[in-house]
Amino acid sequence: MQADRRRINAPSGGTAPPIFATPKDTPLRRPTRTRKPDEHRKLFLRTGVVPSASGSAYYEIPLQSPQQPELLVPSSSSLKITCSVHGPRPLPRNAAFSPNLLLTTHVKFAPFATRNRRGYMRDAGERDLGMHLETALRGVIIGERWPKSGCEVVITVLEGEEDGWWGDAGGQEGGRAGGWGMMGVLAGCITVASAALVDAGIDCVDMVSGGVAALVQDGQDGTKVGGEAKIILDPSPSEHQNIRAGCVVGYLQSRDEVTEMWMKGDAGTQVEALVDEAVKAASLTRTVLAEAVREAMGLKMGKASEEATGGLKEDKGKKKDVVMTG
Amino acid sequence: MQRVKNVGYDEDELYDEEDDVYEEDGDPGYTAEDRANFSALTPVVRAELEEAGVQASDQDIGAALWHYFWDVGKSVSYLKNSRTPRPQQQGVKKEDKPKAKSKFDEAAQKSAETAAHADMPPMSAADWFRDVPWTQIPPEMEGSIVPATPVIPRPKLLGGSSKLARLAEERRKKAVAAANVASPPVTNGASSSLDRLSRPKDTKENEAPVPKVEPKRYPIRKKREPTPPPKEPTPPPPEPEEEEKPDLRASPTSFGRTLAASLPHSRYTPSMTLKDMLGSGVTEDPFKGPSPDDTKLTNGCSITGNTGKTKQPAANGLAKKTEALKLGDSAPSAPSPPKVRSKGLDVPNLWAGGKSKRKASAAFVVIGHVDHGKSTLMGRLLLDTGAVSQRDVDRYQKQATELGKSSFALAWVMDTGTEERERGVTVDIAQHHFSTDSVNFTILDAPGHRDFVPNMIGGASMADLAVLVVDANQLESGMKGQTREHVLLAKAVGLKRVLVAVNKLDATAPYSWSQDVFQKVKNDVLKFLGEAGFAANDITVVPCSGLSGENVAKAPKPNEPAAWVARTDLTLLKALEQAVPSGGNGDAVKRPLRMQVADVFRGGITNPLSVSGRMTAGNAQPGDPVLVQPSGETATVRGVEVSGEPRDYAVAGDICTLHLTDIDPIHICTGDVVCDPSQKVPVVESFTAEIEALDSLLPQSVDVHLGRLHTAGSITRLVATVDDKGVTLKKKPRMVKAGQRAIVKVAVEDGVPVEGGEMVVLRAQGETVGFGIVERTGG
Repeated sequence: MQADRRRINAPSGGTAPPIFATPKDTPLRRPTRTRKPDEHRKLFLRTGVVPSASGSAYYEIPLQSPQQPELLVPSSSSLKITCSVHGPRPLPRNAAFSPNLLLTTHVKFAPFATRNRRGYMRDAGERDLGMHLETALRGVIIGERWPKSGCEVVITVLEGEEDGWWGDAGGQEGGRAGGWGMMGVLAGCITVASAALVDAGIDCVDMVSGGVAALVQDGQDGTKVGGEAKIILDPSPSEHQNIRAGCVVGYLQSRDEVTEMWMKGDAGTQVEALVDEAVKAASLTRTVLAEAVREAMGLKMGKASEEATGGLKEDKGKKKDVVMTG
Repeated sequence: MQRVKNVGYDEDELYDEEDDVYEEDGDPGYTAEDRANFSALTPVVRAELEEAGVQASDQDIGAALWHYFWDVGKSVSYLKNSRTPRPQQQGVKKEDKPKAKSKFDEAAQKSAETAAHADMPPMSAADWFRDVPWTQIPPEMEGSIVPATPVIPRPKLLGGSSKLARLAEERRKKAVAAANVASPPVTNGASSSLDRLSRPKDTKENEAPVPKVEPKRYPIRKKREPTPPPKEPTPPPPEPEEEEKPDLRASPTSFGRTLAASLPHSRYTPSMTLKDMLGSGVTEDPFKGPSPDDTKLTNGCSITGNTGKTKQPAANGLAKKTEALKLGDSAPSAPSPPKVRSKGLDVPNLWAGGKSKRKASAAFVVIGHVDHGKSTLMGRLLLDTGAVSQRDVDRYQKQATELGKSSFALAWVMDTGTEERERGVTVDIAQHHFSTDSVNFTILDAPGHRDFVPNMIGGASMADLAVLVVDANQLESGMKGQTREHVLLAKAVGLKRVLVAVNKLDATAPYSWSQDVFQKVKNDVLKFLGEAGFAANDITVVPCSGLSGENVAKAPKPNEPAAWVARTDLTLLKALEQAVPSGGNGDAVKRPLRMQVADVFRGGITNPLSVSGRMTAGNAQPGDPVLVQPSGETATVRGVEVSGEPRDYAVAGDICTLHLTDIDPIHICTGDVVCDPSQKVPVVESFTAEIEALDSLLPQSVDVHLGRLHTAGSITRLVATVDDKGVTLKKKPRMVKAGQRAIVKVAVEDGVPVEGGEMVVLRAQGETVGFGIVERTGG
């Protein structure tokens, strides 16, 4: 009786998945980084995608390079994250008094988000991401303005970054070597959550943006060793053979502060340089974040002016002002 | 211990001495090593200073070296700085050269100085006025007294220098002026402030003090100065990089586009209507004829005439559809076959056929005053008939002894609740079964305490006969108390036969098993029961002792003091067997099902909902549909149990358990009536009853007890007083006196399921005020 009865399960008999066969001799081409070391991938960010949430945002790093035409599976992953913010809303009656806003963050990968299917329950990695995100956001939110209230940031990763190229090691290692994909996901989570917070009109001292940098030591033509160590912005783990260290920061640009930093691997003496690069990546992401917020703002203001005289409660605009006063 | 103390003192003294020595040393801290350092490093510093063109004395250099702990570079830079811009500070610095004086020393010095200055003009009054004439003072010698103006210091900032204050003042003024000149643009403030977002490092603007924003909470990221090579501090965060930020905005993927685009247009996308879901594949034109709603609208007032024009047809189409849906939904549900398969037994015939083979069954209620030993007697009966094992009783004995109530051990056989056991008082009806060779008995142990009389009524209404337990030693207390009320109630609920068990004869006053005492009690009880309306041949009196067990199931042995009992009286068990009414009547079995729910419980995992009670009429078998009143919900009988054993059917007179299904537990509670769905018990709010008053009755509020059901109600009308034969004595009496019979109309607050012929008991303020039979319901 241990069956999962809360959701619709797969048929007990199982179905045969379709197999999209490719010719055996199809050459698998390892994805390579074509952009410069300090170049960030282009990204797409839009707020207000979930009408029922008080604030929401959608973040996406589309595929940069055209995929191999004979393969159906893209060689590198793209990133798709949605975030919805519920709140600020009153705490339940039985909750203890809290003098400032209680922030809770949930990061959940959709079951289909990565090549290794995720479970419905949040696993340790997802909870870890949630904690990191909470740290990043706690530093920007002005919690004192909402005593006795809570705010929930719910992030669903629709497509996550892989930890490596799926072609490596016959796909065994490809999924879970090192967990570098998590870093990119966290940076995305920070940025998208920031946009959603702004969309929800929650007072912040600044907008926090996430950035990743990595220290890679790739060899020539797909060998693991022997290359020269260099720091790159915004790594796509599938494009690299040997990532030595990675760093994610949540960065407030106008205050020059870092609310969250997560470093992994062994960067040796280049720790500071790595952090600097991550900060640089974060400030690059911020341009998009600001654009997205401005765009949403313009849309709202336009709408507000259209409907203006009706006395619509468009107080989100005012709150935006507050957001900027940091 | 002594030794330890001595050691301590010694150490203290040593320390003091050292301290003294240190203070006596005039030249503090200049050891030989220091002196060597001085001599070695001073020339080096001097050379460096010379190079920079700065003069310094040996003492200065020494001091600098001392302060910087022999760091040549720092000393040089210090000396350079101290010499070049502010040479006047040298003197000051020079004074506290070798070692900084303590604050106390400084203070002492200062006060000494002021004291020295104070007596500088050493003049006496005589000196002062030396060559001043007594009168006609020359004008050049005259002084004028000018009022002294107190020196008020300029206002300063607290703790700050006046210079700083002035600066602050100026800045503020400037800010105000600037604000006045160019008031910020009001239009679209949000957007304009948003514009600032793209300028990344406008810390200047943000530098204006924002005290609200907590300054400490966010640790400012600072680059740690690299220590060893001070040559090239890491370059400040590179500005050029920010100047041309690449446009990182990507066009979304098709998925992203769909997701993002949905919002702005969401207002215009027509949401799916019910009509869409129902589909439009209708064969005939739904708008052809007027729909029922339409006709109704046209017939009635046409309030929504103009507005309804456009919407109406669609709505009608919909209505038809939904109606069709509803019909389709309800049509199969009405005759839905019960899930439990019925065996379709012809219960009345089966019952009548098996009558001879079957053991008789009877239920008796045990009544009596509190603490007269009802539960103990029943426990003994169960033990002696083998319904309860000696082991269980031993266990109870042990537990009861632990609680200090060893005499309650047998009562615990009946009283299973924790509260009942702790208080030693039966609270609710307990049911137990036992069987003798010829009869299956069901014991209903009623609570004796007067607070639980409603439970007793419920129990008594399920019984065939009553066992009245009286304490041979405390008859009087019982007659005043619940013995009286219970007997009346037993009569009220229609019990005919009474078996009196004179209990506790092992503890009678002069000696145990006194026959005189028994005779006296027997006479009193018989007299009392006769008054209460029981026929003499319906009464049996039995002497017994529940605690020691004599004459309950077994007759006492000849050599015991109770030996006389065996000659004169039956044992309790024998008397019970004799008192069993002969067989039920076949009519009741054929009548529609009636069963009052005495208990609702969860009968195990397979039977989530079970009800127990006495079936007053009809029969039931698994698969039968039943109706529960007053909720009016239907259910299906899933299983039948009698005396704790599954049966194929149960008939009127059985105290049985029905396992129900297809019903929610909230629709059924104690006091409800389970009945035949085709001939259901009416739920009424008032009924007429012929009652016998035990107290004077007025139109008043009473508690109405109908078997297990009790509810608040009131006597609304006194219709008439009648005599024993039902002849009307007086219509519309003002009141009914105690002992009179009357026809009254009773209203109850909530609807109760009741039929004519049921026994009803009326109570007020914890007293039974009347009992009788329901004559007519409703109206």
